[in-house]
Amino acid sequence: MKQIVLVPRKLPSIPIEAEVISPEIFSGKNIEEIKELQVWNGNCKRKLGDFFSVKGVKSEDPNETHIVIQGDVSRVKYIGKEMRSGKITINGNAGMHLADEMKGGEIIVNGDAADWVATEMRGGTLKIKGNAGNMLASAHPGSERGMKEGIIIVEGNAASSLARKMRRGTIIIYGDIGDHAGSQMIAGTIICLGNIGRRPGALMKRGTIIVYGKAESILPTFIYDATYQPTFIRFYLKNLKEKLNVKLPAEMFNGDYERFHGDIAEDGKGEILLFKRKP
Amino acid sequence: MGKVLKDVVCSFCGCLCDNLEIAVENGKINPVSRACKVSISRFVNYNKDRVPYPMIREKGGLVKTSLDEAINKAAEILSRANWPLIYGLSSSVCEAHRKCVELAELVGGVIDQTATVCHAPTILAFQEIGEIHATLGEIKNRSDLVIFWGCNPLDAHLNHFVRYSVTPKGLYISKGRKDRTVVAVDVRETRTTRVADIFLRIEPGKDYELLSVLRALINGKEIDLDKVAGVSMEEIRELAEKMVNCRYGVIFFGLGLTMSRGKHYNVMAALSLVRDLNKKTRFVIIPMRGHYNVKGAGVVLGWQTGYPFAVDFSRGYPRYGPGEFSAVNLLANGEVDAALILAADPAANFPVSASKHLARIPTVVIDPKISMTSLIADVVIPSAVSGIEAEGTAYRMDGVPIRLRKIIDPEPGVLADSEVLQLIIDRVKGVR
Repeated sequence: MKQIVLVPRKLPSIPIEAEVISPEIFSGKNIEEIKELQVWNGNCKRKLGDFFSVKGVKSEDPNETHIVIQGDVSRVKYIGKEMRSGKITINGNAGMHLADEMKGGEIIVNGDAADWVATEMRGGTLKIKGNAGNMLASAHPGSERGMKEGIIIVEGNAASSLARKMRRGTIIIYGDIGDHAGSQMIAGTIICLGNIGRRPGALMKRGTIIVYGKAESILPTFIYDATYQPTFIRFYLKNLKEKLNVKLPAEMFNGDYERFHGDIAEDGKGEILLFKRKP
Repeated sequence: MGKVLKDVVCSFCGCLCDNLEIAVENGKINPVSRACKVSISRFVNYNKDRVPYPMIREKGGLVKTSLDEAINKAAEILSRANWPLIYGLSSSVCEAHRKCVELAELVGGVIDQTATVCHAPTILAFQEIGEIHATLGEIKNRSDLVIFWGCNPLDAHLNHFVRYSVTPKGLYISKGRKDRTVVAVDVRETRTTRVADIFLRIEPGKDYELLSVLRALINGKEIDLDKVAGVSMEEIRELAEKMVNCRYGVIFFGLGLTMSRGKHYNVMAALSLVRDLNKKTRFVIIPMRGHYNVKGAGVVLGWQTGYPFAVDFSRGYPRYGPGEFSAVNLLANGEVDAALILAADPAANFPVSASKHLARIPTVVIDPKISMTSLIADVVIPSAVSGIEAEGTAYRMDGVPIRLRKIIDPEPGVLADSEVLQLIIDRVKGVR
């Protein structure tokens, strides 16, 4: 892959909106053309080159374009918006609306991510090494569906309202998750290796939430079914381990899970699988 | 006694009582009847703590200046800013809100209103689930089951009980209070819960659980638990039965629901419950709005921009961003570089980090009275008190627009909010 390296200069406190930082837009442009790309800073139109130094090799194919951001861009919004292919690596914290409606390709954040990341994601892979903010993989306000496809792996914690109205896809959180994870979920899978906050799966219709740690509370509208060893979990986790290199505790594969179905205030076809530790 | 005016509207809380009798004599106002204690205080003290003249900050202190000079300075601050914030609105009239939207578009800024710290979760939930609505008049005439959830009208909306919800006799409620069942749901005993027929004392932060169980019961599902949210299943079943069997029920809810853990999810649970109840009977739900025209701020913003709060114009067209373009977030993150505050006091109410940033950036305050925000502002422009010294339109908590009257002349040179804003708009157009 051909690398284009962006190094942020001293960024202003007013956030920058830079949906132009995307492999499709960078490909086919030389460094000077990339520097001329338009970004927004508050109500002012500015150039990407005003805020970033740009180096690297011109790439003709977005699939072969790898954008590397060296530094903190926690006040830069919309990086990788609607990207379809290629790769973005952020060596620092990422700002709001990262991977907004992302359709393909790969984004790696070697730091924390802000709120509203991977909103209505439609494909591709997002890996966050640090913590993720609120509303990760959720729906835009007023939208019918959240994440529609793709894979998200967060090595730290995720804050509240994770995967609101999720329709399809896989989310793996190594750490803890805040309140209302998978609320209004329509389908898809969330795996939490840490503890999960209050009311997971509130108003969910279908979908699966697998929790390895503890749940702060399970809603009274989730009904306990059984403690069992779901066969699909073994296959599912094996797949994740082999194909995506997800680090999973060995006891998760053959362990007992308590199954709750709900939210019976809605359709009630969703499920929460709580890992049961051996006494 | 001087002239007595009838059917005067009180511009204090979301009830917008429009039946006051007010006596005006020698520039003093004395409510004669039907005003509540808060309303009396508002009318009697309308002239206390007023901003005496336009002021601008010079060498660290606020000094007297001319209105023209203050408008110039305000226009300069807003047009030079890269991302200004316009905030407040709820204690002003709709005419001023329109000007605020125009100004926000003109200077490419963000406009947000005080609902952002009170009923914004309600608005978010309305957008998700929908709202089954009625006017307070309809409730007065029809409702036989009144539920107060997380609100305390006897201390906050003093005339609500007697004018709309509990004691008045209505078309189909011939005996008034006797024909109504009053239920209060709260985490503690209040004056409202003491007069209710049924009081459910719930554990703090468990509103969602109780609402979702009620909803499941109403939909015929069985819940195999002894207690939910600290309330026994027996009591919950009894309430569910009352809800289904009433002829016309209403839930009034306040910040107990919107600002406790869960926020808009709590309201979503309440709205879904009311939606499902309408399969069996008639049921409506109304938020207890605080400031007299906070409903109007949402209405005007919705009508003019398409979004009810947290609207950004930096790209020239409106964008909606709850949590992103909300005033508290913008200020606490230090993102905006100037502010115009209309009839609100964020410096006193916002988190310290937000207030600190507000003190750092150039701020314009338009307010009839001295507030904490006006003390940290760079430009302070006095305005007439809407509903007393200036007329205008305000929306009651149930969305009924009511015309506020001018009952006394303001001091010479003091303009209404909308007139001050128009002057700033004209000046910004000239500056740019």
